[in-house]
Amino acid sequence: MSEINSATPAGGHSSESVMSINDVTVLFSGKAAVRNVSFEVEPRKVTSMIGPSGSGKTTLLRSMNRLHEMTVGATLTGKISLGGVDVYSSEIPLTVLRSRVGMVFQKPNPFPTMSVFDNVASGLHFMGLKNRSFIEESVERALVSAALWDSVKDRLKNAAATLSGGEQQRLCIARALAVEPEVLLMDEPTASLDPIATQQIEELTQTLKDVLTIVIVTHNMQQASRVSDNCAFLLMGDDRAGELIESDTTEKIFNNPKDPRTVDYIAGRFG
Amino acid sequence: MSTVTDSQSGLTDRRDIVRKAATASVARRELWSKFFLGSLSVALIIAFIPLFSILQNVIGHGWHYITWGFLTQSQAQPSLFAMKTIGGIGNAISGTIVVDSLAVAISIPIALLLAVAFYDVRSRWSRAIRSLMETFIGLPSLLFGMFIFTLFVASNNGITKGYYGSLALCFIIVPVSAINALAALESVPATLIEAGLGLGARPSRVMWRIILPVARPRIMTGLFLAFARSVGETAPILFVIGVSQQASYSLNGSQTTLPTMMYDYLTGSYPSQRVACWGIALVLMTSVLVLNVISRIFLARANK
Repeated sequence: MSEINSATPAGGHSSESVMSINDVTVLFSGKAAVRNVSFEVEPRKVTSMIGPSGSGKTTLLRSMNRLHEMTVGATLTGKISLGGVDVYSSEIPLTVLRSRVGMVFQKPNPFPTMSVFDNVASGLHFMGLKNRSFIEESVERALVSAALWDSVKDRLKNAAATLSGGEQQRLCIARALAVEPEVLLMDEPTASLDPIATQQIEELTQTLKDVLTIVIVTHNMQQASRVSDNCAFLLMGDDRAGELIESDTTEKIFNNPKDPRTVDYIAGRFG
Repeated sequence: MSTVTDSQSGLTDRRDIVRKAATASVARRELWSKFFLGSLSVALIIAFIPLFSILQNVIGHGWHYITWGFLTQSQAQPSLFAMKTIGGIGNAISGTIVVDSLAVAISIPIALLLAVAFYDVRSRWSRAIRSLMETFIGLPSLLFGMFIFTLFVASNNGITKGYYGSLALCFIIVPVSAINALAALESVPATLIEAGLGLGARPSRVMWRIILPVARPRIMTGLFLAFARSVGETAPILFVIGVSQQASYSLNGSQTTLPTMMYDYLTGSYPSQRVACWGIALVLMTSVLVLNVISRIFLARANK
């Protein structure tokens, strides 16, 4: 991170981005959900996407590991790259992309028929990894990283559904971590959790950024200011498509935003 | 690597191992994908062959019967001097309309009442009656015909009447549509019901004003599916409605429906009548198709 690239569309934070979003428009059956969004995701930092409902935060997040393609009729223009390689090119097969860019969802969604251990190991199993000791070590590392190891190490064989909501969400984070992603996408990961579980997840983001990059969508501006280093603010445009209003360091977005709409949103005047 | 390490080099190694596995799995997956796609295509073709040949035969042999005269005139009896005389199927169309309409008219209130009762009364009794209904769906429909025959026709000097057929068809329509309607009622989200009850509404009001309206498209789907099934039924009505060679909308006399006419023609001795069955089959198939499409439309509305 020694070079400074002032030409980044995001407006001047440091370069060597791990993911870059370049003039991205996502359409569902021809109708734009986000339009012409560009910003850079810096490595080993937490980038938050904030904005009211319908501003396209989730759509944008899902397009970063191509999950938006689950929706029939979804198309994307522009370029999203991971380490300089277009994620929509054949250079990165979908399976590899999703192992490099993981996803944690709004509601905890552990696989109900699997044990705690099998949930965490599932990604490795899907890829056909058979090495027992590697998998066991991966599961332990992932659970330790997700701050869940101490509370579940004696019940790894239990059904995942027996965990509490907060534990289930950390299990889902561990599941995503087990395939050693470089980027972790989090879509309102605390929306269905109580304040204590929320705090635990927030603290987790701060330790996880030592080894990976996090992009987090949140409705909660306090959360964005607490956990993120950089921040992108999106808003629904006139044609109901989400647009990027500005992106910068979280400190600048919250203390010295350039756009009056950002000022209003941060001040809680709408949204 | 026996101990957990957070060292940077350990992480890079682990990432490498997982990425390699992911990359290797791509080729494997593509191969499996091709294999399964191939097998599926073969299975699809095998499944379509009989379907396609039925359609091809019915349409190919039947389409030239479809004339205004065939659809409106009553049947005419061929004779040794006029072997090719068949007339039309107007009497069977009118018979089908009246017999099935009465069956549906009787069945709708019964099916709805049963569904509402099952929905509301979750006792062991209602579960027992419910599984009885499900058993009814699986019974050979000839049984219902036999039941009505014994009850009305045999005890009445063998006099056949159109509405006997309607009664027999109710045994087909009621279970299917009651079970479907119950599933429709149960698909209404509990939050809506609680919202209604939370306003102080009586349970009957909630049923009438909230649950039934929300479930209506799905209930209609079930009704039309049951109706479509009854239109094609032969066995339950064959021995109880008799034959009416003249078009008639009376349910108090004998009647002929499209399937019973086909049965008569196929078991008759004139080749021209046997061949004309293709025409009847095409009309029958088209009407069942139309009813199914209508039920799909209701279902699409329910899922909107």
